[in-house]
Amino acid sequence: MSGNGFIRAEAVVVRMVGLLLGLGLVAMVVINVINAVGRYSGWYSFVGADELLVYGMIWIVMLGAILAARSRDHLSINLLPTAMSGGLAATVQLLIDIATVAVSLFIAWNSFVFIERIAALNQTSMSLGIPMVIPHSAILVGFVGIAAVTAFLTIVDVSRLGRTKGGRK
Amino acid sequence: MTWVLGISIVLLIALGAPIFVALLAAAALGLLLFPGPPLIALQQTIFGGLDAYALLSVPFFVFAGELMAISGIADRLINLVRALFGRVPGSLGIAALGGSTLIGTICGSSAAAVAAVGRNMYPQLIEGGYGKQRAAGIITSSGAIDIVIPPSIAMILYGASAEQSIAKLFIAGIIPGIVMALLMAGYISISALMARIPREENFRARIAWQAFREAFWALTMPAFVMVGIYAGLFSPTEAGGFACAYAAFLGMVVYRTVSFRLLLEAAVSSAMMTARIMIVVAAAGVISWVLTVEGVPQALIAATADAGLSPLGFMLTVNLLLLAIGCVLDPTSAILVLSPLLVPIAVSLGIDPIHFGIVMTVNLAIGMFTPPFGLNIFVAQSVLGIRTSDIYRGVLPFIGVQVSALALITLVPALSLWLLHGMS
Repeated sequence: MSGNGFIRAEAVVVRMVGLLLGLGLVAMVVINVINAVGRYSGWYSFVGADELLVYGMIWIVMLGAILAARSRDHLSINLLPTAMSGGLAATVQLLIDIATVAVSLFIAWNSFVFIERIAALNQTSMSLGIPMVIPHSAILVGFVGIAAVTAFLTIVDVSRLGRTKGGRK
Repeated sequence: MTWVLGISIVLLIALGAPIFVALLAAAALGLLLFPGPPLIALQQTIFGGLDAYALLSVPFFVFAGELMAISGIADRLINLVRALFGRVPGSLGIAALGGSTLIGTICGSSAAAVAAVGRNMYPQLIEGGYGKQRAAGIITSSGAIDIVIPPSIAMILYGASAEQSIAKLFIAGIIPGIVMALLMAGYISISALMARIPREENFRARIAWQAFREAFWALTMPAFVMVGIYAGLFSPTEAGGFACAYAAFLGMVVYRTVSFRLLLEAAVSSAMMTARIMIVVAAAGVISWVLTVEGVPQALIAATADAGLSPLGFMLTVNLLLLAIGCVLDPTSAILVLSPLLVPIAVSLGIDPIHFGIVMTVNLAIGMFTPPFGLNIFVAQSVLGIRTSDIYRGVLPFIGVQVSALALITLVPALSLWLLHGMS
């Protein structure tokens, strides 16, 4: 796949995941309202709605965290970076990216070990009987995703930096 | 170990690392350098930090706030307050403050209020003779009240983190929020008189009635949400869902300002905001777990007892600490990181944890507009398009006003607890 093709494909994936998150949130609101109205009116009670909503939220959080890592807009305080020179700021960004990848992989590995164990135990949720591997996998997918997109951004930044320096020579 | 955690968190945050990375990196470093707790518990801690029904109200109230902003509900509320205050000195400034306070009863986001009120009121304040600095000061500081007036995302996070009732925190926040708004209104009015700012037109019943009619459905939204929670008809989480559904109904059916596409865009934006907040919740849960396993809160309680600190001395120390932290750290992160450490000490000194939660929230609300890094300052800068230095000068008197309100709220716990006790 050419460079432009890759960029277009990546943009489509980002848009689709964003859309999925938005639709997921709308669905959560609908389930929450229908469940509350149904329960109070005595018309209908969706046992396990709370479980479904919470697990949905966990997936939204972890997929959203990957997109936020992609656009580098996680909550942070730019105390020092704004006062740094271009080269120093780029170096600090590189160090932060490396720390992000390392921490994400560390969490992802421990998450994987845990999920392997509960998969062997066939653990399911209390109300809906959902295999617990499904909600727990959100953490694994989220941190693997954060590590992957941050590593990708780091490589792009380093190669761009290399090209700029090469151009100056 | 506490030093390793503390230094790595401060260093990474100062360097600009995402807050969740700073918290998780510190926890990972602590766990690797000082082995003890099993690493496999990390997954359970992160998952457990998010697996809480009460936290569902965060995405719902964020979404309700987004819907309110795009549907024109905010503009209707501001116009109503403006029509009501007529020739009262500083009425335009009070309208901005009142609009911000009313918006706070619908959404728990301070930044959303600054953006909504700033867009609507800044040009009118300038035209009304308030000047750049004063106008920016009013808009930037008024927004901070929104995280004290329920529903408040900061309170939801405090409740989840300190294991306190969110409904009780919401009730406890009403009077302190009103106290803050009244002191601000008093200052705006007196300073407008002293600066000889021209007064607005007289109050006209016809205009006020027209503004009331236009804002009626918007006004029923906070009433619907608050009465539902306080009457015990629904939980704060269900209230959040109803607030979204109601805001969508107003925007799509009553006002016809919101299309399905706009609704979906607001949902995507809310989901992203939720992800940014909740990943910090998960990471803070890990730090809190590591600190608890290492016995840090217990050690702090013992140290406080040894120091012979009185409840009042502790509250004053905490106020100074939080005011300083609030200037550089957003309330979400500050509450999540500090609550597990400070709440056990407060409880051991006999301080009501609900009152303590309100004091923490008010502190961090002041931090939202305190230079140099208060979040509202940057929101105001991008919305109003003026220099940061003008906003810095503009907010200074309001910091004084809000610190007076904080002192009052700290010294008189009844302001937070009276309504709560009365209702129960």
